[in-house]
Amino acid sequence: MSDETLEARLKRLIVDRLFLQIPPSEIEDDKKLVQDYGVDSVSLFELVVGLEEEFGIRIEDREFHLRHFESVSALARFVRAKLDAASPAAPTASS
Amino acid sequence: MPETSVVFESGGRRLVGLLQTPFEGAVRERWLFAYPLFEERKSSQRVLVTMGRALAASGRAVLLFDYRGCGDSEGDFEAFSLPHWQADLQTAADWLAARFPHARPGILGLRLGATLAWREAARPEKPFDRVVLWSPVVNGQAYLVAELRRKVMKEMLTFGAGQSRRDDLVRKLQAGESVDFDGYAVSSSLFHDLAEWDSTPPFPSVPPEGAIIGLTPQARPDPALVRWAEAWQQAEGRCTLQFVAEPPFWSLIGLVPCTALIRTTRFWITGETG
Repeated sequence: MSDETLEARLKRLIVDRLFLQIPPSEIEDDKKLVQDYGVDSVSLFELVVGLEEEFGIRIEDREFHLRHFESVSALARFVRAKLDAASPAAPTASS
Repeated sequence: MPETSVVFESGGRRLVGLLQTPFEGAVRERWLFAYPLFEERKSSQRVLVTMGRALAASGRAVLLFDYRGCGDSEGDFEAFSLPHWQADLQTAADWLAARFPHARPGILGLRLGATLAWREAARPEKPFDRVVLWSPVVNGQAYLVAELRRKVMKEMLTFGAGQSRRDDLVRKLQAGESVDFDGYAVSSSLFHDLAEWDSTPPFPSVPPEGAIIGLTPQARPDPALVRWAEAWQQAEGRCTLQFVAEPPFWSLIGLVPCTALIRTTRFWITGETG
């Protein structure tokens, strides 16, 4: 596991998968992905596929709720919960 | 570049296309372009027309057309499926051959269009000397799942949460009902054809020569396309595999120039840079 925080990994993933022309560090944790960074259903799909590949998680249809995807902070909470649920005894991704 | 709107018939339907030809000189090669399906067809038009212009400027003729039930061509989308559209490719190839009989034949396809192009080019008759596949769909089932998932995500952005469940949509299709994909009624028959469509190797027959060009973040190799290319080579075909760091323009609404994709493809086809 690298020392990179979960939030930093998510920002790198967002820039990579969405072909954003900004450094990952410029993405603010609580800014809206849809309104502020132009994420739409297409890029969201790329992002979800990226999350599944990067973190080895599976996102179910019933989990497609905007509150999980509205910002980097929200995504981090969502991914952390998925990782914790997958292996309750293991340390969280940000630890 | 001369660009002419053309109409020809396939399966009793009038198909509409665009023929791009060089300003002057003999036509050295004739290229048939195979569109993807659904909304991907709309989003890809600009890039395919630009690619056609680049080839026409190098002495090639290019035909880009809508399959029956798609775009400007006649028919209801819901009434057709993959075998009809592959038959349209055959008709279009014959139409192009009748106009440029001495030109070397090639076919270029994108996404499902690339998979259709592959199927057509891999026939034992080997109707095309060269094939270019842009991010071909490897597995119809996976493609369907992704499309259904995209539908749920759109609902999430519109309503705050997904309204459909992929399992329910699949159940409807399996029961013979149609399901709406972005305004396209996907019939049960198309669903079943797609679900059975697997382009993973080994291949019983392959085109003689071709290129697979995948668009991926940071031009990272896609393992499925790597396997495809390896199997193509093992089956005695000559295959070039390249990855280009450009976004999936077939899913995007805004302008995506795809300069690197067009440059890479043009170089592979013509040997010319610039």
